[in-house]
Amino acid sequence: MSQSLMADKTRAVSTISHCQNISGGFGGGPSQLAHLATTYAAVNALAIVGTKEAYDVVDRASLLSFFIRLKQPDGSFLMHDGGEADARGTYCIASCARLLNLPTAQLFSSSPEFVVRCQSYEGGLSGYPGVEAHGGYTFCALAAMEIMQKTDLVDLDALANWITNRQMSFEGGFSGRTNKLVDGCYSFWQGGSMPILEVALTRRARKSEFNARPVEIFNRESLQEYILICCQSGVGGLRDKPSSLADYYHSCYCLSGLSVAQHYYEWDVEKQDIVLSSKDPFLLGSADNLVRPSHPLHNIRPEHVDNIRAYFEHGVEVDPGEST
Amino acid sequence: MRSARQYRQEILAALQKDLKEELDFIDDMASEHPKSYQIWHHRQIIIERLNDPSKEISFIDKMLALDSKNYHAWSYRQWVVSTYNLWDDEIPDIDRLIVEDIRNNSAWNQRFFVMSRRPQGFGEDDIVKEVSYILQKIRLAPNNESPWNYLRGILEFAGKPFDEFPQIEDVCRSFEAKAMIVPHALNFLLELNAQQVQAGQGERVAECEKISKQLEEHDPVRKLYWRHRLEQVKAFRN
Repeated sequence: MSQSLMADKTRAVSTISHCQNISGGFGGGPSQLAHLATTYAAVNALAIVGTKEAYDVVDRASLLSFFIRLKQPDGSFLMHDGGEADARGTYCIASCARLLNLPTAQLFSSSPEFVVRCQSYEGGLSGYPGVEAHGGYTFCALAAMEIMQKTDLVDLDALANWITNRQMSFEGGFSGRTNKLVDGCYSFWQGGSMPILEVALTRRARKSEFNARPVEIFNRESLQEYILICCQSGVGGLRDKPSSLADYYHSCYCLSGLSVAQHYYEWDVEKQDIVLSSKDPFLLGSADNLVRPSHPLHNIRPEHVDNIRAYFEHGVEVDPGEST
Repeated sequence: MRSARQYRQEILAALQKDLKEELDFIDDMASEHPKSYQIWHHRQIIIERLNDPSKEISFIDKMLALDSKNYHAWSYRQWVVSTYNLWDDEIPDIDRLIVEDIRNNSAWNQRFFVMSRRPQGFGEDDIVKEVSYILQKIRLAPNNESPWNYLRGILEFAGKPFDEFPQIEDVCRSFEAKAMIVPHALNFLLELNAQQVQAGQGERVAECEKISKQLEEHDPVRKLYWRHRLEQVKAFRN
């Protein structure tokens, strides 16, 4: 690893450590109020840095007490002390708890039931029971259910119908809700739900037919076309659509969506995890377009997931040079 | 640690400020930042303290006039309607929004929210009226997905199989007669036939095959999905 990358990692760890609240969780900046979305981002960022120093930043005891404090009687979680509750909270906590090996039996009591109530009559999921089905909340809800090992409580067929209909016939990208416009960020929120859903549908089919073929339900080629042709800004970065400017948010979720559209995933019975399949990537255009795989439940590289989980499961030391 | 908004709530309480003035302040802030989670939640807390929702629907309508699909506005509206039992005036308001924009899916979602949760329940008369309302909207704009999704949802909510109302199949088939391809209509027919296969009418598989071929041809972006659906239907038969 180069000197400058090591220095960047040290700086990142230092900045993130200053965002941690004494009463648990991470804020969006130093000394800011802890929030579940920024806690999720901080834990993922530390997992990407992947050093012992990074992992040791997290005060797991106070983090768990923060999570418990946010729990509501209906199984949902507030996004911050005194804040609003919605399905994002369940995902942020589920993702962090899985990476950090936190005890979850009590934490998630009645949480799957809350998430299931967020599935709307359209088949997609919403932020809160009764509200309109929406791509962002659908990813959060589905990934949370998969982490809580309760995916089968979701009506997967209704979800498949709604989510495949979010892919736009002409543009190839996804919209977030019925009759809304395409937006590059839904390449991940809708596209990222696809491998989870495909794996769950395959798992279900194999209960009755051992050899059932892997289920594939979305158009990987059209999604790559939209991202590569319409979402790349001429001056760098990626965007919502050609009329918008590039920003970090859309760069992250367009590239994450591109990765989802290129790589195939499958259920690993032994590992009890969604892993990269042995099938070759589906690549549109030249080999330069290939991006790395990302873990569908956490949206960081699979090896970063494995490393941080191993560290907190078995106290495994990591080689700081290994995960660049 | 507390947020500035929590400080504000504590100060308002300590100084016994007039909370109606606070609502005016939120009106201004919400118009400037309509997508802030914090503003909407702050408003909810102030209304809970005031225990007076009388201005809320007109406030939400004003916000919806700026963006008729504002997710926070709709979510907040559901809280206001269910907390303060304001069900009665909802349907006329939703109708107005659907007339203004027949593709406003948030309004269709609100219609489902009201129909499925209002205290008087949802009876046999209601499902008949809804089917006729939906078919009228479908005839106006057949490729509008919102009423199709609402149709499936409300039939399932009422516990009705998709072949319960023959007029729905008639409308679906009427497009074919006019040489119009409406994938949503084909999708409904596919589901209707799939339900019949599942109910033991194995011979309906042929119809499912025919429809899914049409969908593969005319809705190619979803080719893999239509193939998957057909495989599922065939598995029902086995």
